[in-house]
Amino acid sequence: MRIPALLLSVPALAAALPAQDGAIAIRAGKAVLADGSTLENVTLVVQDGRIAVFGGADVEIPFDVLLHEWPAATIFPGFLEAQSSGGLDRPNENIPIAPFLDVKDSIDPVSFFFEDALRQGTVALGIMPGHDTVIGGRGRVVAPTGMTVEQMTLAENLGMKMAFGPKRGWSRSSQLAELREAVAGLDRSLRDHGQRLLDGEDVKSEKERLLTAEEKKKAKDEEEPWNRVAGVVRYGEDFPGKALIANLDLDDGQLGLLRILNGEERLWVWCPTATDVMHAKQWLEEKNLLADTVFVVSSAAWKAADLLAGAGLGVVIDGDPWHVERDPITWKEVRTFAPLKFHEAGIPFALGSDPGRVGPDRLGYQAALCVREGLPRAAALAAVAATPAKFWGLEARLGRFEPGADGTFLILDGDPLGAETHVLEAWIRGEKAYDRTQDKRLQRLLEGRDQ
Amino acid sequence: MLSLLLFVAQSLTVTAEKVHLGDGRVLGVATVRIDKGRIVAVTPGGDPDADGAHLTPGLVDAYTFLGVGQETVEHSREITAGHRVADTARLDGESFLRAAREGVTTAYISPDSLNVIGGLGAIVKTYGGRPADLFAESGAAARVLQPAAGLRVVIGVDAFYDNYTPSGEFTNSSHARRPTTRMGSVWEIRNAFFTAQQYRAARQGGAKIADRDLDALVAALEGHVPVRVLARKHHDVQTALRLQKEFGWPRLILEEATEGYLVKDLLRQSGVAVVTGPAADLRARSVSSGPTFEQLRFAAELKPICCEHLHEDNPYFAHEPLDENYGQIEIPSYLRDLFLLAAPRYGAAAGFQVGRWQEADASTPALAALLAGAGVPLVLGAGEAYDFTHSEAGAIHQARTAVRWGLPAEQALPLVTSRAAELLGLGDQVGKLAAGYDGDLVLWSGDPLDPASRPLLVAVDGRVVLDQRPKD
Repeated sequence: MRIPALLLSVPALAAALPAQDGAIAIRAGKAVLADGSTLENVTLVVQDGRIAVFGGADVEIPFDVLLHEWPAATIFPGFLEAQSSGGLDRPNENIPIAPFLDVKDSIDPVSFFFEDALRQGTVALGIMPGHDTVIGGRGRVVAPTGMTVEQMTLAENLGMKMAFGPKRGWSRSSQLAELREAVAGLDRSLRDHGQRLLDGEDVKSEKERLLTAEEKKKAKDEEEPWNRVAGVVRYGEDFPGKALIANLDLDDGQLGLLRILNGEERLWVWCPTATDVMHAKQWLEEKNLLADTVFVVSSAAWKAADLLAGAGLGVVIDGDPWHVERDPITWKEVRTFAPLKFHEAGIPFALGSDPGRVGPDRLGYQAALCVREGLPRAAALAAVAATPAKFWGLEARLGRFEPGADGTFLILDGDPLGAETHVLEAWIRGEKAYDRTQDKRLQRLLEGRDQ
Repeated sequence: MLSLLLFVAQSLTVTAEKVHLGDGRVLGVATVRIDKGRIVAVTPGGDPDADGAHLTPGLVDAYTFLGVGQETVEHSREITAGHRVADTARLDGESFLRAAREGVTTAYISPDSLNVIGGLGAIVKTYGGRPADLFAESGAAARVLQPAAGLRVVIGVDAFYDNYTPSGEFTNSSHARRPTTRMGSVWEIRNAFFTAQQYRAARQGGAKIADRDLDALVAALEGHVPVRVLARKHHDVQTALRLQKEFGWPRLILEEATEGYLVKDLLRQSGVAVVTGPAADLRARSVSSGPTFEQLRFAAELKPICCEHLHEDNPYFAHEPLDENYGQIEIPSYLRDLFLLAAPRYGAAAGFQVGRWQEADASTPALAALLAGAGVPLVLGAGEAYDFTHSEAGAIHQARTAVRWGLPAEQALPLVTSRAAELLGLGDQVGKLAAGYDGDLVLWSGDPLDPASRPLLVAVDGRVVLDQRPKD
C-alpha cells in the first residue's frame, strides 16, 4: 500500500516547505527597492524563509550558505496584486449575502492564472470573491506557488468582500435594499434572541443541543468554536439581553455579518462608479466601519476622488485604468487616467492586472503605464508593491528587503518597469519558485515549437 | 490644389537628444527641419526640445481597420474585388485621431474579412484631410494617398464562419451561401482569378466587355495592386504560396500569418513579406484591448439568482441531476454565437475577432522574433487596436511586444517605419527622417520602445497633431 503512505507524507511536506533549513545568499549587481530607489552591489541572505541580512558587497557569508552570484542582474522584492478573483473556479456564489464563504475552498493551486502571475513577477496576491454579490465572503493572501491552498497561504484572513455596485441583473436600489434587509434581519433576530435569553427560555441552537458531554468538555479544554462565548454582539446600541448572546446562538451567515458589523473584518468594498462610492461611504460611516475599508473601484470612480480622500485605507483600481466617456453635447471622447487623479488627491492606490484591462496583464507594465501618464516612479511602483502590502497589513513581511521580512524576491534582467525585463528567477519564502530556464511553456512560445 | 494650399504654412523644427532615422540608424543630438510639409534637412546638433526625448519618423502601420466600422464588406456576394474601402471609411472618425496621437501618421486600411475577396484597401495619412464637421479643427481627418493599395483575399475561417447551406425555410439570408469550408473559400479564389484571366484574354482579343470586380482582379494579376492574403494557420500560408504560383501574382503580402513560424523556411524561400496582426499574448489572446472571449462567454451564460430553492420546492426539478451546469438558463448555441459575434464589434469596429480567436491555438507572441530570425521579410501591424477608445496595442506597442519576446531592439523600429513604408510601396515618401521625405515625425518622451514613453509631439506633413512638449 504505497499510495496511502505517499498521501500521509503530503501534510508533512506542506509543513516543512515554508521553513527550510538551507540558507541562501544572493549577490546581485543591483537592487531596486519598493520605493523605486536603487542600490549597487548588494547581498541578501535568506534563512528559514526569512531575510537574515541585507547589505552591500562586504556582507560576510557563512561557509554553509549556498551562494548565488548574479553580477548583472537586479533583485526586486516582487510585485503584489492587491485584490483579484483569479484562480477561483467561480468567483461568486449565487446567493447575495454569503459572508460564510471563504476563497480557500475555491482556489485552484494549479490554475494557469497562478503560474502566469509568477512568470510575470507577481509574488503575492490578495484573492477575493468576485464583484457579483452583496457580501461575497472572505479572501486571503496567497503566493502563486504550492500544490495546496495551505502551502500557498501567506495570510488566512484578508477580510470580507462587499459590493455596492449592483449584482448582475440587479438595480442599485435592490442592491442596497438587500444589504439593509440583511442587517435589519440580523438586528431583529438578535433582539428577539436576547429577550428570550433574558426570559430564561431554552434557546440552545440545534448544534449546541446535539453536543455530547464528552465533546462539550473537549471544547472547553481546547477552546474550540463549540465553546460557548457570550457577549459576541458588540455593535450598535444596547438592547435587552445583548450581553447574553453567544457565538453558538448564531449560524455561520449571521456570525459573518456580525463580525463585519462589529468591525472585526477588513472590508473590500466594490464601487464601480462614483455614485457607489457615495452610498458605500455613507453606509460605512453610519456603521462606523470606514477606517478599516479598502475601496475596490473601477476607473469611473475617479469622480469621487474627493470623497475617497482620507476615507478608509485607500483604493484598488480594478481593470482598465483609463476612464473614457463621451461629452453629451460634442460627442467627443473624454479620457481620464484614474490613477493620476487618485494620486493628485493623495489617496493610496493599488493597481490590478485582471484580464480585460488595458495592455499586458503584467503589474510591471501597469506601473510603467502610470509613469508614462505622469506619475512619479515611486508612486507607480508603490501601486504594485508597497500599497498592496499595507492594505493586507503585511508591510512588515512583503515588499521590503529588511531582516525579518519574508525571503521573497525576484531576480530580473533589468529594471522592474522595463519593457524588455524578464523574471529570471522568483524566490518565495526562501524557496526557488520559478526559473526561466526551466519554463517549458515559455520555451515553446519562444522557440516556436508546435504544441 | 487644396492640399497645396494646406501645406504652404507647414514649417516646423524639432531637435532631440536621439534621432532614429527609421532605417535602423540612430543619431545623437540632431535637428529635423520641415518646410512646406516636407523634411528639408536633418542636421547634427541643436538645442533639444525636451530632456531625454527621442525623435522617430511618423509610424507606418501597414495593417489596420481605421475608420472602417461595421459592415464594411458587401454581404450579398462573397467576391467583391472592386469594392473600395476608401469609399466607405469614415475619414474624420475618431480612430484616425487616436492613431495619430499614438504616433501613427501613415496607415493601410483594410476591408473586413467576412468575404473571400473583400475589396481594395487604401493607404491614408491619419491627419490633414478635410473633416465633414464644420466645427472640427482643420485637418482633423484622414487623407487618402492611394485608394487601391491592396486586394484583400481571405483564406480561413473568417470568410465562411457565418455561412450555412441553404435549406428549408432558412434560405432567405445572405449567409445561406457558399463557401462553408476552406476548400470552398479557395475554390472561390481560384474561380475568381481564373475568370479574371479569361476576361483579360477576351479584352486583349478586342471583346467589348467591362466588369469592375474583374478589373480589380486583373490589376492584382498584373501587379498594379498587391494581393494581400489573410492566412493564419500554417496550411493557409502554404495555400497562399501555392495560389501565387498558380496565378503568378507578382506582388503577394501575407497578413497575420499567426502560425507562419511553423513554415518559416518555406516563407523565407518564397521571399513573400508578412505583415503580422496584433501580437497574441501567453494565453493565445490578441493583445488588443476589448472584452476577452471568456468574459463574453460568461456574460452570455445567464444564471438565475438561486437554483437550490428550485431544486427543493419544484417537483419538476426534483429529479434533475445536480451537475455543475444545473440551474443555468441555457441559451441556444446559435444565439450565443450571434452574441459572441456581435459583442466585440459593438462600438468598436473591424477585424474579425472570432476568426482570430479560433485560429490562435498555436499563436505565440514571439512570432516577429521567430520570423525575423529566420530571414522572413516582415513588418508589424496593429489590426483593430485603434478601434477601441484606448488600447495598449497600437503600432509602437506591437514593436515593444516584439522586442520583449525576442526581437533585437534595433530591428524593431524599422518594422513600423521604413520597412512598413517599403511594403506599402511608399519607401521613398514616408517612414524615414531624410530630406525630401514627408514631414511626418514623432517626438517621444524617452526611448520609444520603453512603455513609459509617450509622444510629446506628432506631426503629419508638418501639421502638428499633438504637442505636449514641456513649456519653458
